[in-house]
Amino acid sequence: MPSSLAATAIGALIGLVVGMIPGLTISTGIIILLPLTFVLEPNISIALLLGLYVAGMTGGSFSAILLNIPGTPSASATAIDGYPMSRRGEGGRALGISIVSSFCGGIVSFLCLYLIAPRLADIALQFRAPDLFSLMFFGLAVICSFSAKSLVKGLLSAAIGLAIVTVGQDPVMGTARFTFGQVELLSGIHFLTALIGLFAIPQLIDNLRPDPVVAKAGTLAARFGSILPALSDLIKIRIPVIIGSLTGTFLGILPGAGGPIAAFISYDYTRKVSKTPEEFGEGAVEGISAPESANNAVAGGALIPMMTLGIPGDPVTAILIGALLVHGLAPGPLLFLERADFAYGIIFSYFWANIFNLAIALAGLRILVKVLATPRVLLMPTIAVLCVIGSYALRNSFFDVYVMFFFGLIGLAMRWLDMPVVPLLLALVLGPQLEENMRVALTGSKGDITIFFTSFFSLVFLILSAISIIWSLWAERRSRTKAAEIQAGIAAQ
Amino acid sequence: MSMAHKNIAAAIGLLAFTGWYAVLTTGLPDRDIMPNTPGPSFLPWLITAALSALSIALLVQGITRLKRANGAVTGQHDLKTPVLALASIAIYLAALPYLGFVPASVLFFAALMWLYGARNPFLIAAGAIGGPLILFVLFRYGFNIIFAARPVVINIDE
Repeated sequence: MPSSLAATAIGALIGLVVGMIPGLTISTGIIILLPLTFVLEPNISIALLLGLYVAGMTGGSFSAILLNIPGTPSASATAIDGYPMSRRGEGGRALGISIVSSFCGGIVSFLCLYLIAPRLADIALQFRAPDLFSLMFFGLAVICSFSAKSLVKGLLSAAIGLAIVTVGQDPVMGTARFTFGQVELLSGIHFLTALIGLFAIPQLIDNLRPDPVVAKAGTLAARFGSILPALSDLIKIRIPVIIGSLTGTFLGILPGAGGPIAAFISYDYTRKVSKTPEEFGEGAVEGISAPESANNAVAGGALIPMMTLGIPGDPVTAILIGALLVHGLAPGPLLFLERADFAYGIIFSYFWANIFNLAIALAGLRILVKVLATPRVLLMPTIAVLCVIGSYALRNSFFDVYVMFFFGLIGLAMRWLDMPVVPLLLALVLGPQLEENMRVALTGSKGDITIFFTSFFSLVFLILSAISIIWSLWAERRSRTKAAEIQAGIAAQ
Repeated sequence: MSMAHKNIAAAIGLLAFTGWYAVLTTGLPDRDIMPNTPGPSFLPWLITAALSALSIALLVQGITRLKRANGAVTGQHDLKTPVLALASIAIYLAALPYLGFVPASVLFFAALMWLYGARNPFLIAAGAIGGPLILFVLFRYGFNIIFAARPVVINIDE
C-alpha cells in the first residue's frame, strides 16, 4: 500500500510535467514509463500510470492558461478563457480554478467508477461468446464513428488493425498465419510495440517543427498571484463543475469520445446555461472549470469499460490494458471475481491519484511551470531512446524494435492521410478476443449466424453498433453540407 | 498534394495490399473443428472483404472530391528534416546490435539534437554523452532491465 501510494504520487508529478509540455501527450508520457512497469509489481505499475494519466490532464491546462498553447488536446477548451485571464494578470487565479475543477471532476468520476464498475461487471459475467463478440464489435464501431472525420477512414483503420491481429497463431486452433517462417511472428505482434511506434514516432517527427514554447516560456511571468481560489470563485464554478464532471464521465465511458470532445461539449453547454454568456472567451472562470472538470472526469469514465468489459475508452486505457496483460492480468468482469483486491486497488489508486494531483499541483506549481522551458533538443532524443528500450524490454526481442519502427512508419502514413490511429489500436487490443468469441459462437451454433441475433445482449450491442455507424454517416453528411453552404456563401459574397 | 489525391493513392495502395493479403489467405490450411464452422481463414476472408469494400469506397470518395474541389492543395511541408530524422532512427536501429547501446545511442542522440535545432557543440556533446549514460545506468542498474539473448544485449552490458 505505501509503495502504491508513492507510485501514484510519483506518477502524478511526472503527469503534471508531461501534461504541461506541449508536444508531449499523456500517451507519450505513459510510453516513457512503460519499460519501468515491466519490472514493477502490477499494482504499483498501475498506480504509477494512473497518477500520470490523471495529472497529465491537469498539467495540460497550465501551458494552455499561461502560454495559450494547450499541453494536451484535452486542454484546448481551457485556453479560451484561461489565457485571457492570464493576460490580465490573473494567471494564478485561473490555474487555481483549473486545479480545483480537475480535482472535482476526478472525484465525481471516481464515485461513478466505484459505484458503477462492480455492478456492470456483474452484468458482464452473464455474457456468452455471441454477446462478447457483439460487444467487441460495438466497441470498434463506436470508436470508428467517434474518432474519425471520415467513417470510411475510421473503418479502414480498424480493418488494418484486424489484419495485423491475424498475424501469428490463430486463437482457437493455434494454426500459424502470415508468419513467413519467422519464429518471432508466431506469438503475433504485441500491441504495446505497435502502440509505441504508432504514437511516439509520428510525435518525434511532428516536434521537428520550430518550438514556440521555449521562446514563450522565457517571457512567462514568474509571479502569477495567489493560486488558491477564493470562496466566491468556488461558488461561481459549482454548476460548471457538475456539468463538466457528469459530461466527462459519461463521454469517458464511450470508447473514442475522449477528453477534447468532453471538454468542448461541457464548455459549450456551460456557456448556454450561464447568466453571463458574453463573458465567455474574455476570461470567465466558468469557462475554465467546465472543460477542466470534464477532461479529468473522462479518465474515471474510461476506466469503467476498461475494467469491467476489457474495452479501452482511449489510447491511455489501452496502454493500461497492455500493462496489465504483461503481468498476466486480463481486465474484464472476471477481474472483479478472481482478483477483487486488485480491481478495487485500481479504483482506489485512481482516487489517490486525484488527491496527489491536487496536492502536488497546488504546492509545486511555481516550480513545475519552469519545466515549460525544458529544451526540446534534449527531450526528444531521450524519448526516442526510451521507445527503443521500451519495445525491446517487452519480450527481450530486438525483432520488436524493428516492428516498433515499422509501426512508426504506418503511423506517419496514417497521419499523412488524416486517418485515425485509435481504431487500429483498439482493433489490436480487441481483435484476438473478437475472433475467438466469434468462432466459438459459430462453432457452438454449427455455423448458424442467427446466434448473434437471438441472444438479447448480442442483439442490443449489434443494434447500438448500427446506430453509431448510421449516426456517424449522418453527421459526416451534415458537416459536408454545412461546409458546402459556407463555401457557397463565401462565393456569393 | 490534395487530400483527394492522397485518398486515391492510399486506396490504390490498400487495394494492392488487400490483393496480397487475399493471396496469402488462400494458402491458409482449412482446418474446421466441425463441418460448416469457421476455420483459421474465416476472419482473414472477412477482413479481405471489408478492406476491398472500404478501399473502393475511399477511391470513389477521392475521385468524387477531386472533381468537386479541383484538387485543392493542402499545406506544403519541409520534408528534408523529417526524412533525415527517420533515416537517423533507421541507422540507429541497424547499428545498435553491432555498436552496443551506449556508443550507438551517443551518436544517435547527437544526430537528433542537431536535427531538433541544437548548434552548440558543447551542448550536443554533453547531451549526447550524458543522456544515454543516464538511461543506461537507470535501466541497467536501477530497474535491472537486462537485454539478453541477442547481440544488442551483449553489447549493452559492456
